[in-house]
Amino acid sequence: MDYTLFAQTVLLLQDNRLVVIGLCLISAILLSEWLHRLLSHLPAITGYLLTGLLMGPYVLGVLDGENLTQLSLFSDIAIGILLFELGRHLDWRWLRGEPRLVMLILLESLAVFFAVYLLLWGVGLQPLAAALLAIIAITTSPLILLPVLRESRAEGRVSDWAQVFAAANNMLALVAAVLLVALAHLAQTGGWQQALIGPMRELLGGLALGMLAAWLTCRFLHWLRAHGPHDVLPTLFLFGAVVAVVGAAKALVFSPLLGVLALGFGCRHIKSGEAVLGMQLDPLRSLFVCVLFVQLGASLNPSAWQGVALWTLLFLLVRTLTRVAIPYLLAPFCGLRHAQGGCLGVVLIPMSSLGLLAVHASVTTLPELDTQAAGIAAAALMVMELLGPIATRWALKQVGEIAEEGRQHVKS
Amino acid sequence: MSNHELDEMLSFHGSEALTMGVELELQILSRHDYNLTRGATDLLAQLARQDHPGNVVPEITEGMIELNSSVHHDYTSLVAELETLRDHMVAAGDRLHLALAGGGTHPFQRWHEQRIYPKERYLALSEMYGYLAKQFTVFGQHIHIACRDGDEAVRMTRLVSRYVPHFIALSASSPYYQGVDTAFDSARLSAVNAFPLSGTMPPVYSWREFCDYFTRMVEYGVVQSMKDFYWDIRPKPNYGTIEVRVCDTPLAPRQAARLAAFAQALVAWLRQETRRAPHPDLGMAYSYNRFQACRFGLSAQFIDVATRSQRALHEDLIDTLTRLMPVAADLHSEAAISELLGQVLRMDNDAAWLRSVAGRECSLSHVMLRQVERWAGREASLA
Repeated sequence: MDYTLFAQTVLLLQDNRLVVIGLCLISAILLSEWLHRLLSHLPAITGYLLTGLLMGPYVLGVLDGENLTQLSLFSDIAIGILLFELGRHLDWRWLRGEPRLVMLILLESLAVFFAVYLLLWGVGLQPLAAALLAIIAITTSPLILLPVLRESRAEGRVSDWAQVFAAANNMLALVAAVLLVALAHLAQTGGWQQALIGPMRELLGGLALGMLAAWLTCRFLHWLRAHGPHDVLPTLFLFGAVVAVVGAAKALVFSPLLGVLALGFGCRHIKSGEAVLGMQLDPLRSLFVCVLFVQLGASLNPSAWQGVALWTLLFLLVRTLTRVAIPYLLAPFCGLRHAQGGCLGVVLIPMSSLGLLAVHASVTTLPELDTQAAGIAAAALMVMELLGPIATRWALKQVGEIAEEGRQHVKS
Repeated sequence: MSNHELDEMLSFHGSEALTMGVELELQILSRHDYNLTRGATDLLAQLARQDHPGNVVPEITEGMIELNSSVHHDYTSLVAELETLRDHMVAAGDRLHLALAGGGTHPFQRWHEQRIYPKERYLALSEMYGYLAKQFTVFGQHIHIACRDGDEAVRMTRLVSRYVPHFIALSASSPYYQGVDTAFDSARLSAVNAFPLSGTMPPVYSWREFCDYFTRMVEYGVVQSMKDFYWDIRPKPNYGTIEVRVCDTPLAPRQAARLAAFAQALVAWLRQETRRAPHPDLGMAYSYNRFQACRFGLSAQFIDVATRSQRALHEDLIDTLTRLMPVAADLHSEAAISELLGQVLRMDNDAAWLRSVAGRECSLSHVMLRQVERWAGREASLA
């Protein structure tokens, strides 16, 4: 078979990157729709992810490194929107009145951390590498959780709690990772100022930037509302604020993740969140999430499994068992049924790479993070990105929180 | 259905005392966006863990919940119980990150997104009525007033029907539906009108005639219980009451108690008017009067078939409430009746309040937030 024509077409398309990106997005939507018709419970993001994987540099090579760099701009916006929404979901007054939830988050995070840490340390990984992987293990990916919740129109206690878990465990992981890396640098260099100032500046800067942006945004939206009804202007302004915070944080070398989380959290709490009440970024989010998952899919390297398959499987097994067991066992103490607790654990399975991304620059400077640890992280993230959305949706269905469940009731 | 079951169902448990009780259908809302959310199961489970007065039960969709008062002799005790029960429910909602609100409709929910509560009766209704079941996600107040016996219940059902527009106008709290101002003060009743067994009780004049009618409807397979009649007013033999079902759920529990006190005083007054009979033309003007009250609220026109004239509804309301004052004094509810009178004189109802809030806030989400504050009695502190 002559592949020359195919190769020429690929080269031609690579010259016009917008066409390539456009075609990939169309393919993603078509594949996602086809998969959805084939397996109605498959989340759309799985289709996008598979398209990315297929088109990416490791399989067909339609999307190359240059394309992925271009797509990363859109992906950053998608992550910004999702984290902003997550931040908006954190209601401090509710958490203060619901200490059982806070305790459960802390206990579950600690249990996952120690279970994974002991496993990896036991099999011979350096303590620092084992701790960093354990920190990643406690996170739940908001990039997977939120699109699945929105797509399936999930409503209920498990969905509500899962969002709070995701926000809290990502923040915990972020802080823990920064502190851990700082401590590692401290051990290496011996200068605590140098080791701490950089990471703390990154964290506190992100936090301050997000809160400042939230205050300004709320002020403007409040003023806008006082001057009559507007259709899309407030939503567009909010979108602009999210993008601006991501951009400004990157420029100032602050944590963009913490910046947008703080923006969402601030908007939720300044004057009880009235300025952003009723404002939805849904259509914009859907567009950017599609791009994000095509890019994530394209970045998946199937060969990441080589040499670390066994440890990755063990890592995932221990993490999953702990993640499901703790909420399952403690459910009655938190006012949940065991089944709800177990399903909450499954909903939280998708793992987030955000914590690692946040300290990426610092992490890569650490010689202790050996190739084996990096391999386990990459392979585990790949599995979670492929299977996580399916697991989350399955658990939400089991607990009766997705919209289709209602339709089944009607038919039954 | 066996004869024994039928006899049991039609056995009227009347009482001499003019007691009353209310049922209020409430909105369960997400604290995130104040849209309806499926919280009924969790809320019921949370409430089951604590002692509270009255009763709380599910409704047809999962974004609804119904609170039932116990039986009361006077307005003061009813207000106290409703406000205590409200406090329990709001506290339970707070723990679950849910909000509760009154109001006859949710202003921007999408009816097709609602989920049927997984209970046999509601699933059967959904099978039977299709989309109407989800469109029935509207929120009403039902008022029970005790009657001595079935004959009095039939007589009162017919006599009180003259005052259906009065109840509608006083309680109207559903001007917004599916994201728009409907121009109605009470859009809720339009959802009820779609059901084949809505409207008014057929022309029966005694409990015997009513039982005969009901038995035939059971034999035809049209109904299985009294619950299947969605009439504006219906006898409720197992409670020994008539049930006035036209009110929107008010925005605050106190208004719900005032409306119940109005119904109680009305029945007490009609009891005294032993020679008063339902006017034969009442049915001719009924639908028009009802529509006028739904559409225009207190500004409606009212056809008084007794005088063969049309007048402003609020004028008839002022006359009616004034006439009820002595009876209300005997029932210790003159405060409620005079507050309602003041409301009519100000031409003020919940629909007007909602429209003024919407005009000020420019967003239905914010309107819903204010409804939540009003229901919880936190209005002043958060204003």
